[in-house]
Amino acid sequence: MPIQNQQAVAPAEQTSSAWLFDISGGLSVAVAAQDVIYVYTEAPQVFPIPQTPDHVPGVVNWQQNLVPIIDLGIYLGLQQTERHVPVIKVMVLLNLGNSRLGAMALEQIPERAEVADSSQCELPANLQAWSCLAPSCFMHNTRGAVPILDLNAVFGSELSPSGLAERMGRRDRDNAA
Amino acid sequence: MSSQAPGQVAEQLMAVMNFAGLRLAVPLAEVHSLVSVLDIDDSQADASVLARVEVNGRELPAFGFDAELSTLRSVPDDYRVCANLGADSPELGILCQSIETLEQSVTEEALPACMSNESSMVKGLALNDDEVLLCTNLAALVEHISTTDKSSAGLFLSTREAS
Repeated sequence: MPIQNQQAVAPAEQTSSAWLFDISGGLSVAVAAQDVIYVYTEAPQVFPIPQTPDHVPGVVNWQQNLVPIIDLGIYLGLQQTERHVPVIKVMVLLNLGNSRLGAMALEQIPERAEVADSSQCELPANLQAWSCLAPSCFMHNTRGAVPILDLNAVFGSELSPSGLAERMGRRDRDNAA
Repeated sequence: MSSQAPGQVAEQLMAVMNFAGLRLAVPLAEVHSLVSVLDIDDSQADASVLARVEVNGRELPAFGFDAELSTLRSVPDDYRVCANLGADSPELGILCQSIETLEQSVTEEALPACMSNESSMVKGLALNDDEVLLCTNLAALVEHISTTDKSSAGLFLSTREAS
């Protein structure tokens, strides 16, 4: 009897709420549920900024704040781009902390998910390029391995040309050592 | 608002140059003078300089940009003004369609880290009502032109030595 009682009161596994984003090429990524402030079901006016990286289609004006937009599909070479003709289907507004905002271009309306601690997994070999952007990953029952984004890395200087040069220099130094 | 958010520079008056639909703002304090395109010499335009403009007896290199902020190699027919930049001592001229002073000061915000590109002349963004302004300044322009065209770097050096 005592054993049966223990089974009955066993606590359910702890989960965290997340949003799943579909980016180009059938890839999915996740962010913490509280990081999403707003979902644009129709893309708002995008202001292109010349001489910025291709994966940043421009900025959007959100309540008098200029918010940079990132298209990870373009960064990963999964989608062709033509400057000044941004084709953004869906966009989410994200809280980066410290009163900073970012926006991300998506393929579809995001989907909610509950992520259990036990579903954490290693980044698969084909997603190793994500290691600087996604410190963790979990296994989704239909989507497979889903990287969990570090939004401060995505919207920091990691993806900028200078950040890329710094990473390559660091890698070369590590290889030389 | 008394406190200044990170990445913001103080409010300042700006002048906005028009390039084929693109508007680029510079601090009004850095605009030394304006010259009609009729008074510039573009007879010796080459790969590094679009034209030359004489200001206070000194000849300055003048440059122009298209709507992508790429450097022009010839003066378009609708570029009418040359803005000479440099608060006390002008260093270069920028040819554009027109230039106007904004009636109100604007608050420039540094370009977000994910958009930064060391060689870009765009260093900040500002909202003017609902318009998004691209912001630059003399130092950023000199650096951009010198970086994208190494032969221009010597031009600025000689201009500074002469002043």
